[in-house]
Amino acid sequence: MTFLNALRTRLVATASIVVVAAGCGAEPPAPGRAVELNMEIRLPPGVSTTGKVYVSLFQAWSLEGELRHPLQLIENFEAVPGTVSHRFEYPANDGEGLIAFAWADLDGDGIDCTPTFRGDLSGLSEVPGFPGDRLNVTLNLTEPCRGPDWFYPPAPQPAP
Amino acid sequence: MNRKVQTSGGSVPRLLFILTVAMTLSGCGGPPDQPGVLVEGQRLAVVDMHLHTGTWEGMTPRFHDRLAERVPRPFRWVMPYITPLTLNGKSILRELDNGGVSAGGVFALYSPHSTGIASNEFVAGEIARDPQRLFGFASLRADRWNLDGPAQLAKLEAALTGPGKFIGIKVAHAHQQIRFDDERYYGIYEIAGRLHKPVYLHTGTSPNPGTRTEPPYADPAYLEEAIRRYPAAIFILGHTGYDSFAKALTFTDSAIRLAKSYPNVYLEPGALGAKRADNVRLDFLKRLKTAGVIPKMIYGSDGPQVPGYVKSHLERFVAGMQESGYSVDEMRAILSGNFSRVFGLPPFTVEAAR
Repeated sequence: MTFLNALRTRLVATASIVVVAAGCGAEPPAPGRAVELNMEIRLPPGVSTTGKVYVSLFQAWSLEGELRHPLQLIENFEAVPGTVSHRFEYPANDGEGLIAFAWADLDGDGIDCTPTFRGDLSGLSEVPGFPGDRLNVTLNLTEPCRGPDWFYPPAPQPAP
Repeated sequence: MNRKVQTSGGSVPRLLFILTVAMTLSGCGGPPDQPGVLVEGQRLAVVDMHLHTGTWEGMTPRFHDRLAERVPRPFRWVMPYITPLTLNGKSILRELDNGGVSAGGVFALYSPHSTGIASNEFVAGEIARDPQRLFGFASLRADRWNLDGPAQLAKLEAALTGPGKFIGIKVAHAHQQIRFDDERYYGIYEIAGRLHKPVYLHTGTSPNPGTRTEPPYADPAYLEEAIRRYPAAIFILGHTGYDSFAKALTFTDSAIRLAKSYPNVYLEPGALGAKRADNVRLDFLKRLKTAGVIPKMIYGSDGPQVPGYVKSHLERFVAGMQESGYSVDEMRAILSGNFSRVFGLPPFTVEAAR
C-alpha cells in the first residue's frame, strides 16, 4: 500500500511537471522607445582634459510602491567634452523621466576620484521635454567626486 | 510600471508541482548529529552573521529574473511560491540546523535598484521566531537622501532602540548606489558609534543586477576617512572586498589594510565559501593569515540563497582554513568567538546549541 501511494505521488508529480512544462513559454520583452539625445557637455572655464567623459543615462523614477526609486540606470557610454549626440532605447513600461549624468576624467585613470585624487568633476541634468524622440540637454560638470544621487532628487529649495 | 509574474491556466497540476517541490525542499539534507564543525577532534560552535530574508513581492523584477535563471524556463513560474519557503525565518532556522550553525545575523535591506527591500519591520518579525538564535541588522533607504536623509536616520535609530532585536546596522553602498566617500551618509556611523551597534558594509562587487562595480562603490579604501572620523563605530567590511562580479580579490587588500590599521575595523568573508569562489578562496585565506587579521574576521555566508547553501559554504570555508594551516583556536575565533566579542554576546558553545 505504501509503495502504491509513493508510486501514485511520483506519477502525479511527473505528470504535473510535463503538463506545466508544455504549457509555459517565455514572453518577448516589450520594445523600448528610440531616443536621440543631443548633449552639450561643459567644463568650468580654464579646466581642460585629455581624458574622457563618462556619461550615464537614467530613468528619473522607476517601479511602483515601496520599490519606487530614482535613478535607475539605462546605459553608460563614453564621450568627450563638447557637443555629443547619442541614440539609445528607453525601456518600455518601466519608468518615467530621463536624467543625464556625466563625470570628466581629469587625471585619465578611468575612476571618478580616488582617495588621493579628488579632482574629477561631475554634473547632472534632468532632460527637458521627455518623453520625446529628439531631445537636448546641457551638462555642466562642476562638482568634484559626486555620484548621481548627490544631485537627484534635488533638495527642496527654501522659500524666498 | 511593475511587471507581474506571468501565469496561465492549469492550477491543479501547478499546485501539485508546488507541493512536490515544497516537500522536497523541506526534506533536503537533515540536521547533523551534533551542532558545530569537527576540527582535529574538537567541535567548534558556528555563528553565521550574514543571512538574508525577504519576500517575492519585495524583490525587483530584475532580481526576479536573476533568481529565475536558476530554474529551467518552463518552471520559472514556481518562483513566487518557492522563494518564501527558502527565505523566511523558519527556513533560515532550518538551514542553520542543517549546517550545525548555532545562530545567525539576518539583514534588512533597502536596495530598490538591485535586489529589493526587506524592511526593518519584516526582519523584526522573522527574527522573533527564535530571538536566541536570530539577530537582526537594521538598515535604511538611501535613494532619496536629499529629501529624507534626516528622517531615514531617525527611523534607523528608532529601529535600533526599539523592541526588535537589532544588534547592528547593514548598509550596501554598491547596491544602494551611494559612494563610500559621500559624507552625507556619515550620520549612519555617528549612530553606530553612539548606540554601540556595529555597522556591516557590503564591500567589493556583486553579480546581482543593478549593483555598482566601480571603486568608489566597491573599494573600502574610500571608507578610510569615515573610519578615522568615527572611531567609536565598528565597521565590518562585508565580503572583505571580494570582487564577486569578476570572481577576483580586487579590493581584498584594501579591506585587510584597513582591518590591520584601525582597531574599529573588522572583516567578513560572505560568499567566499561559495563554489563560485573556488578559484580565490585559498589565496584569500592565505592573505588573511599572512596579514595577521584573523582576530578581525567574523564568519558569514551570505545565505541562505538556495537550500543547503549555508552548510556547503561553511564546509568549504572550514576545509579551506584547514588546508591553509589555520589552528583550531584561529578557526574558533573566526567561526564564533570574534562575533561574540564584537557584539558583546556570551560565547557560543556546542553544548548550549545541543
